[in-house]
This record gives sequence, structure tokens and C-alpha cells, in this order.
Amino acid sequence: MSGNRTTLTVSEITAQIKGQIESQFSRVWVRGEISNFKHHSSGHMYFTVKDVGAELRCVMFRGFNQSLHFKPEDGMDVMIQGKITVYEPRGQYQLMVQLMEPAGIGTLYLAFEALKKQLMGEGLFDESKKQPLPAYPKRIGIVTSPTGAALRDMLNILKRRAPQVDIIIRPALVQGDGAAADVAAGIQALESMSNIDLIIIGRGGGSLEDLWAFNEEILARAIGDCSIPIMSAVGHETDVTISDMVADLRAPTPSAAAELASTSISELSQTIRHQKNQLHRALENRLNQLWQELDHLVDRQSLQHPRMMIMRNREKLDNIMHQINFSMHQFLSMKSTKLKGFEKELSVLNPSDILHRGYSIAFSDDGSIIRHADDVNTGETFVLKTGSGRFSAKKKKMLPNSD
Amino acid sequence: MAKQKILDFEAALGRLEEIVASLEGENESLEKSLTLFEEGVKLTETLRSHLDTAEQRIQVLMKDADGKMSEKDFEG
Repeated sequence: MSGNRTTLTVSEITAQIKGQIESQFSRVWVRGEISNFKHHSSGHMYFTVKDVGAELRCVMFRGFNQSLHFKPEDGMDVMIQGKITVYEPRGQYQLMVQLMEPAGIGTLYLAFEALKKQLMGEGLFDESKKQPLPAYPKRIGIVTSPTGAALRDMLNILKRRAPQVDIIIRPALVQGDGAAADVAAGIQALESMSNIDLIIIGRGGGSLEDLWAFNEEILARAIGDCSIPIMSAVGHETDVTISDMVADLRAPTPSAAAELASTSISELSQTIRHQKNQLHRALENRLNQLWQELDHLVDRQSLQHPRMMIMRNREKLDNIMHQINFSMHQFLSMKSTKLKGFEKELSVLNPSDILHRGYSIAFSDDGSIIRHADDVNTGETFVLKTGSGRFSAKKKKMLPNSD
Repeated sequence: MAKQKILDFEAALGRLEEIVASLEGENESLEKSLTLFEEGVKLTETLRSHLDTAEQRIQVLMKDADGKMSEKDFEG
């Protein structure tokens, strides 16, 4: 008989159980009541869920429990999603929890997921829809509970940090029936005022139900339709709402929203101081540069041109003057030479020279030159002019021609 | 309380940056540069005094009995 028996080792049977259970219960939803809850210092959570007839060991590792929206406690009715795992060394199975929420909230969770999917499909979360926030808002509108800590925190920060910014508060219900519609109406009221640069909507922390107004469609659409940039600041850093996704910017908390919304006055002062320095430096550079340009220009031919031209013209003029003087001189000396020639010629013709050579000139008494023997009557006196001196003579008689 | 003159801070600061850029741009004449500088200095003074005299005004938007909206100073 024993030869027919199929015997498995404990490890083998456990491995088969593990394989079957883990593949069959890889993603299950379980509802039950928490007991023996322990949040270990490692960050992991250990507890059991039970109902009247059974208990199930659970572990929720740190990586998963960080996104919990509530604090689990013994006796709490919860919905859990996870997978069954078998721990072979102890032969135990447990539920490895991935999601956990208070049982009553299951329908809200489904509604959240459905709306998120729908609005995403419509493009309401698209980056292209995001409006840029003003760098220096003058007037910030806030839609929130007038009595909440969130408003107090925001006002404190804005007063200290950015006293240059004016604030207008639109009180609104932020939880319970009609809250989503009231916040939506608040956005529209602020939008209808012409001088609001930025709107902050939000509230302080609370349960998922408390924050639920910020997951409603009416509010999501009001945010999407608003022409003024909207910042959404709901609850704590871990709370992410539909409003956050539609808004132009999600602030992790209301205090963070106040910080993000405004440039601090000290930063602005610094910016102005910096710009002033830049301005002075820029002018100084500009002046230095202009000086340099001027120096450069002075060195350039184009600017020298007129001066050079004057110099050149003056030179030309000097040359011409010189030439004129020279020509004049030439002309005069030529004329003078010619004149001397004439003088010589003239001196040759001077009758006194001829007289010196032995000729005489006879003048009648009336002073006219006697050219013919007939010009003087016989017995008439006349004057003879010699090379040196003259004397009176008398025509005695006519003589026959000697030639 | 005298209402503070509304200053478009962003526009004024933008203009100031523009002036600095023009001055750095090497294209302006000396006269234009000096005019720009003067405008820039005036702007920094305006901006500075705007911050120095900043006094936050907080108002609440209230719905009157007849449903009309009005602004009232906030009593924090």
C-alpha cells in the first residue's frame, strides 16, 4: 500500500498551496472590522480584520499606507483591496493590503474615480488649460470658510509676507450639503469683480467626507470655466482632490497657497534694488561706450577729411600764388629785356651820336632842318649844329653838285 | 484713509527691465540713453515708495438682504 502513496514534503505542499491561493486571490476586496491594529516603527501597519465568523491577518506596508486618507483604528469598519500571500516558514497566510478606506466611503471613491476619468477625457486637467499665475498680484480673492484655521493661516502669511497685496474674501461653506455649489458661486462672484488677479479656494484638513465638496463636478466645472487663475489648496499635502487637478495650480496646503500666491515684499525690494543697480551700470557702460565710439571716430579718416581738405586747398592755393608770382616776374623781366633792346636801338638812332662822328645839321633861322641847298637863300644866315656846340654861318653862293 | 494710487507693479517692473535692456543694447543715442536712465530712476522710486507705503486692505464680499453683493472691511 505504502508504495502507492504519493508523499509530499511539507515544503512541497506549502508551495502548492501558496501557488494556488496567491494566483486565485491576487486582487480581492474584503470588508471587515479592524482589530489588533499596530503601526510599527518601521512604518508598516499590522492588524487583523474580522467579522463574526472569521479573522484575517493583514499587513499594509509603508509604501502603501502613506497614501491613506484616514487613521485606521481598532473597531473601524473598512474596505480593503489587496492580495493573499502565504508565508511558508510559518504556514500562514495574510492579506497584503494595497488600498484601504472606511467602508462607508466606497461609493464616494467610485464617484471620485468616475468623475476624474470623465473630466480627464474632456481635457479639463490638460496642461494647455492651465493659466499662468500672475507674478505680482495686486488683489487676491479667497473662497473659504470665514471661520476656519485655513483662512487665518493664509491671512497671517499674506500680511507678513506681502502687505502690498489686497485681499478680498468670499465666505463659503466648505463642507456638507451645498458646499460645492457655494464655492463655485464664490468663484463666479470674484470673477465678476474686474480687479482680482488670482483666486485661492480651499480649506483645512479633514476626513475624505469633509473634503468631498472639492471632488464634486459642479465645483470642478466652475474652476475650469473661470478666466482668472485659480489655486486650489485643500487639506493636507496627501489630500488630492478633483479641484486640485482642474485648478491652474495645486498648493499642498492653504499656507503654502499663500506663499505661492505672492512674491514677498523683501524679494520685490531686492528685485527693485537689483534693477536700479543694473540701470546705473547700464548707463555707465553706455557712456563709456559712447566715449570709446567718439574716440574711435576722431581717429577715423572720414572725420579728418574736412580738415585735410582745408590743408590741401591751402597748399594748392600757395602753389598757385607762387606760380602767379613767378609768371609775373618772368613777364616783367622779359619786358625789361625787350626795353633795354629798344633803348640800344634808340641810342643808335640818336642824332647826337652821328654828329660825334663828324656830321653837322644845318637849321634855318626858323629852326627847321635844311635838307636841300635851295632851302636857304644866298646871303641868308643859318645855324650849324656839330657834335659839340653850334655856330652861325652864311650862304655865300651855290656850288655845282660834287657827285 | 487715502486710497493708494493703483500701480501696475508688474507692468512697471517690466518697463524697468526693458529700459535696462535698451541701455545695455548699445543702440541708443546719448540723449535717448539719458532720457531712459531718468525714466528708470523715476520708476525705481515709484516702485520703492509703492512697497514702502504698502498697507494691506482686507475686505469681505457680503450678500445684502436684497441679494446684492457688497464689500466690507474684514474684522479678523
